[in-house]
Amino acid sequence: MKLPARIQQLLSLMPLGPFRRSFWKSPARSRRVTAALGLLLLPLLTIIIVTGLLSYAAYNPRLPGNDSTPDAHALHFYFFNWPVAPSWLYRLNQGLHVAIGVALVPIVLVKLWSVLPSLFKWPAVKSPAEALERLSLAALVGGILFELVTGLLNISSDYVFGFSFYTAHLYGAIVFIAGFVVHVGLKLRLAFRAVRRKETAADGPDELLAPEPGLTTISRRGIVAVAGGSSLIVVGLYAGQTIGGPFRKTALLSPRGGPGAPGFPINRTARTAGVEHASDDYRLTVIGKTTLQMSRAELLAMPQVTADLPIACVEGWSSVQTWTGVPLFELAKLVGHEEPVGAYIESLEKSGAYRHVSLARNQTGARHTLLALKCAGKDLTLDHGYPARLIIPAAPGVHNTKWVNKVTFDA
Amino acid sequence: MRERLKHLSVRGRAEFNSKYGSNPAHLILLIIAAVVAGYAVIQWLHAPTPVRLLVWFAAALIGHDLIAAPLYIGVDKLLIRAVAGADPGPVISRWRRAAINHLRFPLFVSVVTFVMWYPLILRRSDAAYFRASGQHQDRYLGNWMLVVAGLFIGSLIIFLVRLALAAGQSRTGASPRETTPLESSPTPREPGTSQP
Repeated sequence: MKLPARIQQLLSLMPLGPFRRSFWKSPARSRRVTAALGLLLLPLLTIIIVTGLLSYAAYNPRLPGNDSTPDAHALHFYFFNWPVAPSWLYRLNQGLHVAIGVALVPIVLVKLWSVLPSLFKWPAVKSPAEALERLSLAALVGGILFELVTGLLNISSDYVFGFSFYTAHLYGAIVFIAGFVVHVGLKLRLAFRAVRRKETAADGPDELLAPEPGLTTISRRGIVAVAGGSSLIVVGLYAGQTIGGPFRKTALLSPRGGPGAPGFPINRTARTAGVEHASDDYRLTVIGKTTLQMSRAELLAMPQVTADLPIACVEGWSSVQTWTGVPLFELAKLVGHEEPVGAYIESLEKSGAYRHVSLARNQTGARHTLLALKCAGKDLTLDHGYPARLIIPAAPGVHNTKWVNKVTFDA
Repeated sequence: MRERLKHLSVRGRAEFNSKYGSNPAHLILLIIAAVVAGYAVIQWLHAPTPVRLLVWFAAALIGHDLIAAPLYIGVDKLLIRAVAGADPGPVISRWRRAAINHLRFPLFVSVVTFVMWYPLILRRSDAAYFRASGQHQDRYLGNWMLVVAGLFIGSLIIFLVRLALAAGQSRTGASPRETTPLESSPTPREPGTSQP
């Protein structure tokens, strides 16, 4: 294959500009700094991958209507019935997932800065192995930045990207995981050797060291401290919306925290859902072996159960509230289901992805899965689901369907 | 026979390594990764918005290295010039260095927090946010400015405390290694910054 003369001429001049190693002047770059940042990222990225995959499983995607990415058949292998205890399970999972995503941003940026010279390596690839490895780095770097960008935009309600967040974030994660596993597999031992200063001759020279270093304005220790310190500040300004209590007010830069933010956030107002205040002729339809129509007064006349349960959003915020209502399994008994059954719950809401949910048997049968009528001892407000809403221990927030008007039990 | 086979396999391996550039395990790992990532990309291609997804992925891939990095490296050079002058020579004093970093850190965190939360700070997503939460995004610009002010003021206070402590120490002669800002002589490099 012959290249055009002009390109050949250009190539003969290479390396030029950033492709010349001496272009990179910072004396703070070194393999050891990059390794230290990598070892800082390793546990955080591991947790964010695990909690991300668990978050998908928490939706019980095998049940009808629950899967926001219904074509992901290849991922069904790891699904399991999401448990109902401990009730804080999803709160912890999702709190960690989003808080760590926030904490990662500055560390990832510093890590990318630390390896900038290797992006402009010349010759770009020396062997097929290196070519494949650079492709895997595209999956790694593109993947993590794509995930951070889509995640942050989504929790800020900025849907500028114009594609399904679920499709983007799930498959973006798979691309990232592929790159991450390769990178850890190929570099982990070198990273440990580099931080311990125990590199061998086979590791080759440190290509991140500036051959003609410029002015020293920060120590290498300083670089790692900037990454870690800024990460702590960023997550400190965020985490209150997950931890709750007095910390909610301190979360100045979080979508659902800070002074003035309500202690119990709403994720879809009644107005947006097109639901009006239910009149006296509201009836809950309960379908099982028989069918029942129940008024709110009849529901209130049944034995009531009160439980403190968190509502935890996939977007990372959470709030523990005291709920009072009728256990779902008691309703199942009324329509002839003494044994545990699954359930399909529908809302007065006409449209919207979460106007319905399918529950697994363990969820329907749980002592504290309630058709809640009251919150903190008072009737639910309209925005929080009046006349009746579902509350399931340990489930994703959107599964706690609001404005419930129909429950179908099936064996 | 066995010896011969062993010899052959060793030779084959060496040949593979020299042609491919690494061992067979490397190739197997990368093929598995390519299959996994390929699955995800194919799923994207079946989405209603494949082009958008791929464009955003490509933008994420080059966004830092080719757009953000040249910008922040340029800003950092301006910052160094502002503190140390246009031609600071090969070494600057410990206190000039500290001054650079006491500006650099709050500036870095301010920019990172802005980039992370600009839809809230600039009220870009107010309509969608209101539809979901019943709240507006008015408070975020103030919150962010409070954070920025806190970062710069906090950094300044720590810098002044460090200066005062160093001045106190040099007066009592407790630490001859420390230099006061008035002397501002170059200090020995820290172990972590040793040059090759």
